[in-house]
Amino acid sequence: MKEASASLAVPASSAEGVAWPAVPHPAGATMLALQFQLGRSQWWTPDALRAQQFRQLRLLVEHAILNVPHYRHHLERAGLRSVAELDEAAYRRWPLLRSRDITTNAERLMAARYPKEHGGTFDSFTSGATGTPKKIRQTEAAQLFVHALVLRDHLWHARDFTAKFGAIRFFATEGRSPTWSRVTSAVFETGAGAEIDVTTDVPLQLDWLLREKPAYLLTSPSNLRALLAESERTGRVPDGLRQVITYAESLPGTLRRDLARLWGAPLVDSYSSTEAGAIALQCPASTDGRYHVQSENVLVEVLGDDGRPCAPGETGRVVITPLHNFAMPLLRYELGDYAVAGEACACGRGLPVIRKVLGRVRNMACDPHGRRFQPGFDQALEDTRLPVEQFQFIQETPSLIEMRYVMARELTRDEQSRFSQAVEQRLPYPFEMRYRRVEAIERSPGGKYEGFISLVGTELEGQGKR
Amino acid sequence: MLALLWQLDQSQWWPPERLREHQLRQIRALVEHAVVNVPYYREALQKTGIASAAELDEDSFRRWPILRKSDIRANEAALRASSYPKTHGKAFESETTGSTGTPVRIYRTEMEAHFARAIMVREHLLHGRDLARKLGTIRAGVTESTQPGWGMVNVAFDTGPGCAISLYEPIERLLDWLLRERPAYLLCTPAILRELVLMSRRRGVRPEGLIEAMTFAAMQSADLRALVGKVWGVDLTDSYSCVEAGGIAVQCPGHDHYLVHAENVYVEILGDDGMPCPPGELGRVVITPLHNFAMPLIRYELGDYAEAGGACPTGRGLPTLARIAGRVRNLLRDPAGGLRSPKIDPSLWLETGPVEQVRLVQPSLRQIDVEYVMARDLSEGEQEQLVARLQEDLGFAFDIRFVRVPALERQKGGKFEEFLSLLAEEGS
Repeated sequence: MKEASASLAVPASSAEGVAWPAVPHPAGATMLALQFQLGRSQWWTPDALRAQQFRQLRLLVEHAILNVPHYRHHLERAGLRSVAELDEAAYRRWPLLRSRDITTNAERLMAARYPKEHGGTFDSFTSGATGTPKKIRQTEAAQLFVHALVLRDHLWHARDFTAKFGAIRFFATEGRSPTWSRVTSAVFETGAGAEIDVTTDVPLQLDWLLREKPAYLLTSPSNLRALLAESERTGRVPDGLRQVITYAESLPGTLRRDLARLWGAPLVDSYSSTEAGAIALQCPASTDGRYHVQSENVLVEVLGDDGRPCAPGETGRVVITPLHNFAMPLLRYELGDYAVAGEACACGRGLPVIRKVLGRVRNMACDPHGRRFQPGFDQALEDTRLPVEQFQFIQETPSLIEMRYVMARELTRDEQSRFSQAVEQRLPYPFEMRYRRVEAIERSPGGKYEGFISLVGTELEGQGKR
Repeated sequence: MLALLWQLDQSQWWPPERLREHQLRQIRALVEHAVVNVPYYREALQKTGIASAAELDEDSFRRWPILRKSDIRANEAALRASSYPKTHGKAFESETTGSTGTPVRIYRTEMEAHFARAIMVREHLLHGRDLARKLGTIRAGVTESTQPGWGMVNVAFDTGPGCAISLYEPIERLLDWLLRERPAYLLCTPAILRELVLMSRRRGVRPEGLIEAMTFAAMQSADLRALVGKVWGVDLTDSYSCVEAGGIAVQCPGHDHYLVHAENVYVEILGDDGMPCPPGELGRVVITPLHNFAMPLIRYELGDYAEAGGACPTGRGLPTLARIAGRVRNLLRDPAGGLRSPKIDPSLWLETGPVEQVRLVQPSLRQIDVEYVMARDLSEGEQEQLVARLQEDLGFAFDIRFVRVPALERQKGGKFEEFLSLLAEEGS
């Protein structure tokens, strides 16, 4: 633990007469026991972290080859005689698990048995971008680690638990609660919580925000952008907002700046998935919004096309291994997201760095030369100040991109040409642009908004950010 | 245990005001319990001039009557809580004689012991000890033995093995044990450590594999660290604890000052006027263990003297003690009436003789007796040299006499008093 990251929060005490230091009830104590370990392991060297990850991984693999049909022959396929031989190089030979393996083969990924100390199981369903549902089974033990990382994010970003927490979530019911969540209130006495569904009309969401006045707001980047646009249009600004926390979608480059400009609040982004919980959380010390991989719960590889780990600055596919789910081990699961690997962080944490999360393969542009990149439409929109209410870019062919937009009128020829020029300046390939006004922009089956969808060469089905 | 350690990890960096605010929060809970359930404290609120525990702040707490060791002896039953919260677990007895040799019986709870254990583990973590190594302990109440772990630490961590031996064993045997067992860490009293170092130097042996020596029970003389460093080439870390409160303070890593375990005990260093001493001043140590609800010791004067410290240069907000001077009877009183720890250059004894063991006794205001153990008498020349150096170190032209003795005994509990004042004691 280092000075700059010390938390001022005091846990709730369950022992009469003991106010401080607190003696939390068992669930809270377990959570803090994990925080104690996370508080220290974040400062370990990358080598020390990897050594402990592989210690855990070997336990998981040993369990998987014995109890999970899908993995019965994986040890031989990786060229290993025993789990004890498993190291970083050998694990790179372990076959990748793809999204379709889960959709078509979920039962073969379920463990016939697992240690009973891991508690019961529960299933969650994730539809991903394409709407093909995947069943993910997790144990209570795995969930404990997921929750611990939720709490780590609060602690990293020094959130004041006594303040109010607002969330605009997928599939939420509008309402208030006396606490932030079960996870947080298991440890700390918290202020109130309020939530509303992300599909609520944006002006109504802004009404809600102004009425509820949360200190912290959790929402998706696209929804935040819509809220900011509405706020700018009406001049109505939420009061008392200290931080906006984003999740579920890749973060547009301009959003951080827009939030600071319009609401004066900092943005904290996170990268998570249904399958693993938090994969990477924004570094509390960095100013460029880099992420630290949550190595204590998930082994993350960012792989180039040759299957080798990417060097800092290179873009690659995200492959994850959640380390504690013994009910449905996902070993080297290719999430379908792209990310930019980062170099060691100046903050001193030994947790690996992801510089940027680019999102799903289908949210990356692909030019006729086969080059993949994140299209920079946000900047072009900001520069040209097109008065569109909502937009979506669809890459129809290797050289054609269509802009679908919601607006009271059609874009003029001049507006279209200005935008096409701005795009040409920003993208590495001179795509042909087409414009189509629509009634509304549809969300993906999972309720997410996708600013860019490529229909070209997206055989890999990504789950994407949760 | 880890839940508590997480909190200690954070709170060590809190600003002093925040630490004090939470200490007072806990003191109010303790006082609220004490005035209702502990007969001895029934009138304490009125004596302090406040209507309820909720009004208690730093100023009003300073008016709370001081509890002395003699008060505990005389009021043992009245100091015990008639009832306390069930969650605090069973009560058990601990006895302590302290260096005054006066036995006191304390009743503690499992809850209080839980905090004491966490504080002990904090000290290991603070000093970055490698828990996978071997720990050797020389203390009272054990027979020579080896254990698979470090004892209490194993509640939370896997550790390397431990070994222990009784401090009442002859030094020769203790040194043989140390050479044989080769612990990476050695925990013992300062007096035993000094004798071990001197004995090993005489025998020309050095404990192999030792990384750090740890002393407890305070009264460490200023020169011991230098001696251990010079002869064994290892670091020495001191901690300050007592049976009544568990860990009170531990040396700050890389520094000489001590960090008070503010989460476990409220410590006041008081001048003769009863007001807190500013940094650099020596005063009486008054403690309030924060979590003992079976026998609350509120503003308990331990009988030790310590020098108040300033802000910790590491940025930790925990209060500090610059030095722990021990009992008033271990302090030098100079003829002008000032009270201080006698500071003597350790090389004095290393360069003379060889003097095996030494103790200074102050029988009267102007006289110092040097009791020493040596194979022969000090020569006149040696005595002359020593007188000049001692007078300089002690800061006054004391009348110095030399008395050769066959042996200098340690006290029960393993403490050894290097300086003993026979002048009337105050305070304790």
